[in-house]
Amino acid sequence: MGVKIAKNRVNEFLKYLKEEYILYAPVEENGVSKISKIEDTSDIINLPYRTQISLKPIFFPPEQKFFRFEKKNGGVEIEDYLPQEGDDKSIIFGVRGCDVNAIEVLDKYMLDEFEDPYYRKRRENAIIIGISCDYPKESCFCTAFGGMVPERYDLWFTDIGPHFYVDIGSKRGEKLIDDKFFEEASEEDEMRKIRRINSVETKINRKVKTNLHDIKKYYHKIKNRADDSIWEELGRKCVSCGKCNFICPTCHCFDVKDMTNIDGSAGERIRVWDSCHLYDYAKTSAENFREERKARVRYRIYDKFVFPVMRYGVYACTGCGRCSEVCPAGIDIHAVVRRLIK
Amino acid sequence: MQFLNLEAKILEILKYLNIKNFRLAKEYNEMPVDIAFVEGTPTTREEVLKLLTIRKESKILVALGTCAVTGGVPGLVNMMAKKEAMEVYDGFPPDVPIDPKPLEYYVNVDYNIYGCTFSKDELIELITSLIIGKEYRDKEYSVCVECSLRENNCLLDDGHLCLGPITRGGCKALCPNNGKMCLGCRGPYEDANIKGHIKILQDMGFTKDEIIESLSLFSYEKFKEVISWLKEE
Ligand code: SF4
Ligand code: SF4
Ligand code: SF4
Ligand code: SF4
Repeated sequence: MGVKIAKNRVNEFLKYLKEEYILYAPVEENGVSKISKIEDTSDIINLPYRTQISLKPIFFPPEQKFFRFEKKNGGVEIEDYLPQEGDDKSIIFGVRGCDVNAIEVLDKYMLDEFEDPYYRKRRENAIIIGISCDYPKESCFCTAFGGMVPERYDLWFTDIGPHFYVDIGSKRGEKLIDDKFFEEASEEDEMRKIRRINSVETKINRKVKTNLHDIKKYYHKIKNRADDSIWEELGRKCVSCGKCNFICPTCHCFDVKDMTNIDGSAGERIRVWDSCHLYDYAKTSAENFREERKARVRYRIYDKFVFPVMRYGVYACTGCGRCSEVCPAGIDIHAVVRRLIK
Repeated sequence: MQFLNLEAKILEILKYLNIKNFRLAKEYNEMPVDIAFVEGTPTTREEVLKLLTIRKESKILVALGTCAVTGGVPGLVNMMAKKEAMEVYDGFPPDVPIDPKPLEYYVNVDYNIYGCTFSKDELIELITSLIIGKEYRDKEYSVCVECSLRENNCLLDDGHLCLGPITRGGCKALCPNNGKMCLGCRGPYEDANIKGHIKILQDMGFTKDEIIESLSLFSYEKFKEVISWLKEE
């Protein structure tokens, strides 16, 4: 059985959490909604759906410095920035299902086969308090993948009128349940929660009408369309701006650069996000193996619906719809997938 | 003149470079040199000859800034009748005017430093590469890349005619960061999908004339083929 919290107590609860944790929550900065570190809980905004920017930059920022180096006494001295990352515990409040699922996918790339210590440090101590959406954005299609409540979370809030119903998903989450704020939920509360989630998901479904649950089947279907004329068509439209990659909560490609002083005797090594849509992404000393734009467009779709399935058994798309929202050429990933599985 | 604005960095640079010939900042000029930075583009016969001499007398020639790289704003006169252009020059046409072209039209250019005004960071990057013997490469991606990394709201979404998608990156999205659309001062990059972007702008409701005007502002020379295609379309 879950618990519930009165809506007018949520702010106090967050203030209470802030005493011990670094708190992240949805805010608006320069007209862009994102999840940021909270100084004052009155900055938190109430959105009925996801923010424009995902969770990704919290764990994997667009530019990240790894270390500083300096040539000294015939050797090279290195100052690693990893210890500065801190072990502070953080709580991320107000996350949507598509983003929680996406961060789990990102974990596979960053912590599974190859471990990224910088990512691990930020990710390990982060507690997730998610929330069901009130209604979807135009581009949302999470129900194609199973719906808006993820399998794993620490706490999960759902609006049931004057209260939020709170599902407890982990030991870490359970520890946050303080009697000061929470009360036992009744069976009726639980029914309300279920009805609520169903009604929002039905609304999304009415628009989405795609079901990709059978991963094996759809991955094969998409894989078999490698020579389709759709790629030619999309390749003509795409302007290779990379926005779909940067905005995607599961895209994880980066470039590593050394920024040095003028004689190269000291500098910093940094990583910067990269995009598979860019011309020099696949350029090697021998050749550019995705020189044609249509090959790049196809690669992104395949790296969402084919390659990750082969590697990790999951799609690397959770239906957040951000890439479709930002694409200046109007390339809508949901529409593309629908055509591919027809 | 942006060179003089490098301030603190210039002292460091001077440890490695010995400036022999700086027409606007130094009195006497010596040739030959290892590296020649050429700003602007020739508009008279004498200037073309001077450019040819500089090329002969330097190991590395760097085109500095938009006018040198793309023909720039002076390239706009190529669109107008000669008579009109002279009117613009207020009745005092440059003696024996010739069409402003990118430097590479006349001579081999080793490196281009793009932008109006050109990016100091890229100039330092180039000088650093030359000093430590690292390869310096042109950015082969657009302004949008740098704009997205800064999490800006896209100006196209607000209906502005932004040239970001077809303009070479490297300025760190200076204009969009300040809420101004990219005017394309760095010119197009090789991989730019210019026709794709024209389609986007047309779908947004911009007319052919508006698009042509915008493409012509900084890089008429580079866009002239696509402009004549668009006119006939
Ligand atoms: S995709 Fe689903 S979970 Fe994500 S914001 Fe939209 S409705 Fe909410
Ligand atoms: S591919 Fe698009 S819809 Fe899917 S997770 Fe990434 S941004 Fe969201
Ligand atoms: S956002 Fe659209 S135009 Fe830009 S790279 Fe992605 S698919 Fe191409
Ligand atoms: S504002 Fe301009 S430069 Fe920035 S992403 Fe949009 S089109 Fe590209």
